Amino acid sequence: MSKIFLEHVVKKYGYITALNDLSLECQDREFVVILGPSGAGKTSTLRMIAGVEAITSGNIWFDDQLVNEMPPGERETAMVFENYNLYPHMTVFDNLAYPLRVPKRAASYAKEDVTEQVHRIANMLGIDTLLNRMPDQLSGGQKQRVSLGRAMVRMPKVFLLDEPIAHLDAKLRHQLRAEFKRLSREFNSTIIYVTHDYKEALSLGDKVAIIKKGELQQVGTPEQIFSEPANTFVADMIGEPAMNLIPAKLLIEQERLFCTAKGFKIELGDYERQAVLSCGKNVSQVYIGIRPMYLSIANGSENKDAISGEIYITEPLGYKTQISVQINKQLFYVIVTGDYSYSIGDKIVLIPNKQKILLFDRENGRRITIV
Amino acid sequence: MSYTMYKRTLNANREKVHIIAGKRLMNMVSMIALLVAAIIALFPIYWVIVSAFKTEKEVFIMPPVWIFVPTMQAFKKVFEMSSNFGRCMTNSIIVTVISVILTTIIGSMAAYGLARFRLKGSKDISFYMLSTRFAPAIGFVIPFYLIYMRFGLIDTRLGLILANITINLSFTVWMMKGVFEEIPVALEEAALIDGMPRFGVIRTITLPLARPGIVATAIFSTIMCWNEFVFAFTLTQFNARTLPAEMPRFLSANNIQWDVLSAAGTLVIVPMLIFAFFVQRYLIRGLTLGAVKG
Amino acid sequence: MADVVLRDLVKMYESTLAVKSINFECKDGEFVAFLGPSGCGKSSTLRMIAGLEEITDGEIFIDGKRVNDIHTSKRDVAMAFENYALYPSMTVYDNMAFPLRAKCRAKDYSVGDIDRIIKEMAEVLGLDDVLDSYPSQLSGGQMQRVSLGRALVRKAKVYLLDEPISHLDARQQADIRRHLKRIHKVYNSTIMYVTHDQQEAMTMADRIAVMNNGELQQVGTPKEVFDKPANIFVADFIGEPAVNFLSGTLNVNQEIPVFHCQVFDYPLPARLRPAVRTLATGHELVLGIRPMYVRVSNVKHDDCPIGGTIYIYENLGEEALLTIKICDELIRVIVTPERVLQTEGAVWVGFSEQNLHLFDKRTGQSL
Repeated sequence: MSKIFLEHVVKKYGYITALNDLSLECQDREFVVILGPSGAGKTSTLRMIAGVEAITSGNIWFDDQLVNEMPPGERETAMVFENYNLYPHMTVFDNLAYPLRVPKRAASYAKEDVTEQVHRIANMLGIDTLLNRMPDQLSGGQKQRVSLGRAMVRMPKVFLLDEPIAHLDAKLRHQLRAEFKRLSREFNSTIIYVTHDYKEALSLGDKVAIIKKGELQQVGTPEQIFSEPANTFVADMIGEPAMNLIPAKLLIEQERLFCTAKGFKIELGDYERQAVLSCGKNVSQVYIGIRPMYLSIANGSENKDAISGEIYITEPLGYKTQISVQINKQLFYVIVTGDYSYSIGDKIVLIPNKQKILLFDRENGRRITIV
Repeated sequence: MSYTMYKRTLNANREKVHIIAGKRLMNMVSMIALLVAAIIALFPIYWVIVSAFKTEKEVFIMPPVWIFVPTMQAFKKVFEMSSNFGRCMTNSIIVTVISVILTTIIGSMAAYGLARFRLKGSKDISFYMLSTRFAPAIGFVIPFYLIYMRFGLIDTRLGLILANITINLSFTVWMMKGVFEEIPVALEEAALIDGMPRFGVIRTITLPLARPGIVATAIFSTIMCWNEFVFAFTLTQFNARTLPAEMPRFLSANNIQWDVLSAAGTLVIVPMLIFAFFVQRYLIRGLTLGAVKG
Repeated sequence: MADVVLRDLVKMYESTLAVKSINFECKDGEFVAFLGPSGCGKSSTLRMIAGLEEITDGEIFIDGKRVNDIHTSKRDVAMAFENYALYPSMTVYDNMAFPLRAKCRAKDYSVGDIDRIIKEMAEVLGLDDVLDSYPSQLSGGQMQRVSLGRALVRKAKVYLLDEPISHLDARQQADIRRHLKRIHKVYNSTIMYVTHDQQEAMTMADRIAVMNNGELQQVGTPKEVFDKPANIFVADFIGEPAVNFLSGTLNVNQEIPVFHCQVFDYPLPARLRPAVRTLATGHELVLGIRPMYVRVSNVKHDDCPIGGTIYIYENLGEEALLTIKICDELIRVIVTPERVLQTEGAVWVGFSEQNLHLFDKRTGQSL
């Protein structure tokens, strides 16, 4: 049993509030990803759960036990750090064995047990040939695996990972992310994973918590985060290229809801109409959110509910092309697969997939949904 | 090889020669500068050691005698003039070793606390400690003497050890603080999370990594303790006398026997020279690790 | 605006050969990216063009003139550095104005001109609110943009950019990439750009020069290096996710040459048959196929004849990434999330014939 509950946790460094009233629940054996840009307070959160950072106010519960004052050694958590933190004066083997040799565990692990466990974990991670090396002889990817192994070796109740693959090159990151997903299924622990890369959040998490400047923005499954972002910050954070967010005005003409800006006028469907009506106040200034993949290019005939603009720049990626379209000084992003024959300055007409249009209140950034 | 290619290589070579010549000139200039500095620094020591093996007359002759028959006369006279000299040597060794050990242990612990824990006023404490090095030792000597009189510590090895610790503690703390600050806190945090209690963390992680710094600091302390004069001279007379303090015995009002003085001086200097020669590697490693930060 | 020609360019540091005889021509107004892993010699090449490194051997021509012996300041090149190299005692505005105010150029710009140019550039790079700050007050990302701005404000013959956006976060990088490409298209400047990020090279460059170990591996348009990689290194380096490689041997005993792998035999498509005509059975080959050109199905049929098991399934929002295990090797497949019918178990895959690559295992060259 290793449920973790953060209750109104606040962290201040002098006058700076790093974390403001964060409440989060992690179920037993759940994989929770904390996603946010750098400086959002994610590392502070993790360090408070580990016990190496004091809590300014609020409570942290492990199952039903209050752990605010519990020293890190007693919390049964293991941490994988952003820059690995391998003990530089010990071999890989000794690094991996260290947690098993501490006084409170040394009793239950005889020398042969330690060797066996270290070898087992090293095999699982593919580092069994490196056991005699020193940390400065390892590559970044290898160090990361040793760091992971050191955390895994004592089969902790809670795994804390602080951007473990941030400092590796793109190819290695993809590889290790996938491997980690596979490995995590075999763990019997609650995992809390901190990152700024949305792909890791979508791929690995059962639940994703998005934090901005110490404030929790949304908690949900990857699908919810992707298709039902709670506000413009979340919408912008997930996806590459980013979701198009265009300022527009809402109009009601003859019982029909339209959103308009210079260059287009699009009729919105039933769901949006109900959402706008149910949200209470009179909303007229909005952001229209539509992901690049939900915009298609019109061929020829004038369509209603279309957006026209000029091509700003095209970016080929081999099998698809990202086209940036300029519409009244704003850039929309569209993705086309395969070849294209557009050049800069060409006029282009875009058709949005109306099912996938999201509305955000421009005043507070929140998404307009049926209340 | 075509003519153009030949010309090209010729030009390239000419350029290279210019560059190499330039570099060589720079090297020579720095070599000469270093040589001059070395001579200025080392000549006095060389002179003292060489003079120790000359006869009294040879020491004085102008122009100086470069080649001569070495003799142990002066050394014999040293032990004649100072019956205590043997005891001074043992005292120097004992006082230095014990002082350094105690200073290093106490100083390291204080430095660890200052480096790792955010205590109220730790910035002030650091400054106070450092400021004790600004004042000249001779300013403290009188109060020390009075206190020691009271507690019967005059002319005791214990008294000298305590005095040495007092003087050198600030330096040790200052250097060790830099050493500990160089060791990433994250490593200790990782060990804490792994379940090791704080003292275990210090034992298994911090100290092994701080070892070069500790050794360097201890080496400096050793040299300072061994050469310490003011306190040794004032606070001891006979039993606890150390080598540097014994030196004035060889200066009498009427004449100075340079050969004897040189011999005594050699006996004081040479042990440290040999010591420094063997530990210079650790000195450099330790210096670059922590002291530069300060 | 000028062209740059590198002829037999060599660079040697102490005893290491960093650049091994490169021949390359960058046309006037072209955006060329030097792409390769760290240590491949791309930065050294750029620095030799700038004049910051001595040329060990070979020649460099800028605008038709041999510049080997010409001092950096007279070569009329602008450079943006990876480590910013900002003047710490000047504000951002002054840093960017410095090259314009430099004595030899003062006659070309009036104070009003300088002001206008800097304000424009600052707006494009998102620096308009930090123009009066000093480098020590800026974040890494901001410093990098100032460094880029300082290089771009000048009218130089050639712009040399050395990983100028590597320290920015993904969003900022994407933004600046677009602006940089637009600036290039509008002003038609000659830009030589060094990076290790293949996405940067693919999206911005007219031509990419892929380098490894001091040598040019392939030079071509983004489309060329993507669709027709010259060797395994280029195929592996370009494209994200990376190319899938399957090792196997050639079998010419049947009518149609076959790629033989532990678990399956794949008859080579007509396009690739001529290439293996001179090879014997048993010749070691490597098959390359990009993740987006692999077909997946949950039943076996002609288009998907090869069997495997799903190792990992990742839903990345716009795309889904499947890692499938086939004869002990893992291949990655990109599909749209809607098309995924199962997330584990047995599947069948097929390869898109026109996008299949064949390489000689020993030499790594494309066949």
